[in-house]
Amino acid sequence: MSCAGMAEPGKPEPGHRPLSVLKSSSFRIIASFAGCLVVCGLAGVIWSGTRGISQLDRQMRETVINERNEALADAKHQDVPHLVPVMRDFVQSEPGFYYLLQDAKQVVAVGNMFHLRPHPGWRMLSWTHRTSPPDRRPVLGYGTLLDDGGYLFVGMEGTPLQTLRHGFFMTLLWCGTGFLVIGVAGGFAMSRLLLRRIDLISHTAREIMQGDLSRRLPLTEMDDEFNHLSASLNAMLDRNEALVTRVRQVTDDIAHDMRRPLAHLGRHLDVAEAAVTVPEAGAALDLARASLNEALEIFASLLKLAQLEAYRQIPDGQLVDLAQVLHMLAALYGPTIEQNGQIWRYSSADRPMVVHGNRVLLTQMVSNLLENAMLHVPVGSCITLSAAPEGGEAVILVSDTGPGIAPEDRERVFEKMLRLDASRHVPGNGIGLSLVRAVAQLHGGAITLEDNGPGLRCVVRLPLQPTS
Amino acid sequence: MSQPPCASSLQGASPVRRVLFAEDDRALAIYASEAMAGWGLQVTCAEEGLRGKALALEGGWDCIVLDRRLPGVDGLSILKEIRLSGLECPVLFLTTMDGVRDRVEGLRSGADDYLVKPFALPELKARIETLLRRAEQPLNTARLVFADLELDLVRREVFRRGVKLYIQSQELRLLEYFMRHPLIVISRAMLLQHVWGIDFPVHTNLVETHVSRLRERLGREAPALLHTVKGQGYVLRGHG
Repeated sequence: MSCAGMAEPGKPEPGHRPLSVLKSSSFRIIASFAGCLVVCGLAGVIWSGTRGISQLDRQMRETVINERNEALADAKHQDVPHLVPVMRDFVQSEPGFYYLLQDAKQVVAVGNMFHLRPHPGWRMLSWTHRTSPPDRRPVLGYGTLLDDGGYLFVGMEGTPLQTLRHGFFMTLLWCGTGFLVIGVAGGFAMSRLLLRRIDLISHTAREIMQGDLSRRLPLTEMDDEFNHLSASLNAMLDRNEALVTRVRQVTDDIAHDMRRPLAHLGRHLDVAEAAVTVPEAGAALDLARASLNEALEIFASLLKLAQLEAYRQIPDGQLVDLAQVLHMLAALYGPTIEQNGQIWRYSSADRPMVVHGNRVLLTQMVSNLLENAMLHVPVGSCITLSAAPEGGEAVILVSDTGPGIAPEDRERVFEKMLRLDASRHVPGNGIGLSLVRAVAQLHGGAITLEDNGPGLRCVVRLPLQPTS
Repeated sequence: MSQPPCASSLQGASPVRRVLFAEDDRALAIYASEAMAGWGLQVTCAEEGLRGKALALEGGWDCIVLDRRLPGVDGLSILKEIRLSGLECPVLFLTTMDGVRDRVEGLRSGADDYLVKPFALPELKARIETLLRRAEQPLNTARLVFADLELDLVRREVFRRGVKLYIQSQELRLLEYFMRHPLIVISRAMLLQHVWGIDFPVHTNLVETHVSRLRERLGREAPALLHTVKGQGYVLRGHG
């Protein structure tokens, strides 16, 4: 009887929480993309940087080695006395180069540098080794041990190399930071943009789920993929709405049309009852009347349930004090329960518990639970009704010490028309608990069945109206 | 069955009561109006909304039975028109069984009672009877008297033959309802609906329990006042 095409409001739906930008997949995609860019960019910078540096390094070393080889070739013998005139000439004629010729006792023979410890091979020396330092440029050079224990050092300014290295590291740093910032910020902004549209869609979907079937996704000017998606979803929603409307119409028609023959049947029974003289026939007519009433009641309950599930808002919602409702029900049911030989316990809430709701539906909800308990637990069992505010919720408890419900059946009993084998002999139509749940959910609450050890404990939680 | 045990409650010395019955289901209209005629009422039927509205606004009705769904103008609009024009005759609103909203709307719009279709004839009879009774009763009376029973509405006290009885609040509400509508067979559904505001099916012996407790309080030895009418309900009726 319920509308098949509709989002099932009977099912518990997860609460809608707004998506966080950081958790969104668009952010993750864009962030990882940005990460890739950073890595690739840095790799490129490092590759070209190191290439440039090594090229310059090689060139400078070649120059230095050429200069040294030239000096050694001019001197013909690799010792201090032969090298002195050559180097003197070099110092005068080749500016920009640094020379040092010292003997075995590290006494400088010729050169524009202070004496050095005679280490052969490539050396990078600081500016303090130069004799006339107008600036703080370092020296890159090559040292050679001479045959007589002397030491020859030829070098040139190492600044370009150092500047290049420094520049390289700075570039690396700025590029890395820049890529990272642009990547993250861009990802964030893009995600925000995407999320806003996605949120709009999911918000609308939620509204539709809550029963507003006429809602549609807004379309924008841009002919982008979101517009396409929205248009497709809207087309689907149009079709769904048409289907649901038709199902509702059919349900209404069935309700209206079936009432008629059933009403006529009732009238025929009236006539028959008035005319009947045979006692057996009278008894049969009574049974027929009872069956008719039962059919009408099932019918009415199913219609009511379908209606409750389709409601978007509480019909005739107003502020209701649950404590008062329970008090009335306790006064009504208490004596009956005791009369039936069951033990009755009632603990009222000590203060008002105001909810926004429909008084009759809330009354029926608790009444159904009490009736269930009364009909399903044996004489001598205890039936308890209690209520208390707990946080922002009103908690209504209907518990008994009867046979209870097996854990695996506790969810199933909310299904329409389901009656457990154990309760076949008990009056009722199996819609009571479905109605209870529908009413609780309509009021933004929930019902759970728990073990009362022994027995069953029904816990209904309803959001309280904030007291101002 | 169609001759209820207390048909006399509608007749008596007062002039013939005029009832307007606006209902589009012809079979039901004929059947119910025949029954109403049998109860001593003068019934006028309207199968269509516009005609029903015109007839209703003519005035002079003792009671109007109005269906929610009528072709032309629906029952709710007619009801609002009736109240807008200042007519105060009692209105019984017929709603469908799934009309949770209809019932409230009906009462809000000025209906005095509602009855869910399909209904049993005795139920309709009882509803009309209580409405007619209510119309002739002074609204703010301080005490109700029936036979040797006296109910002080202000102090919530009950006396039988001058002796004070101790009756709990639920039973007192029940007694008040019976004493406001004496001699009328009241169904379980009516008691649940009018005394406790319960208009959904109840499968337990709620009403039976409270009626028997009330009987207990009224005195086991004294002549019975609350009678059970099998298959129909209860009636407050004198003895002898």
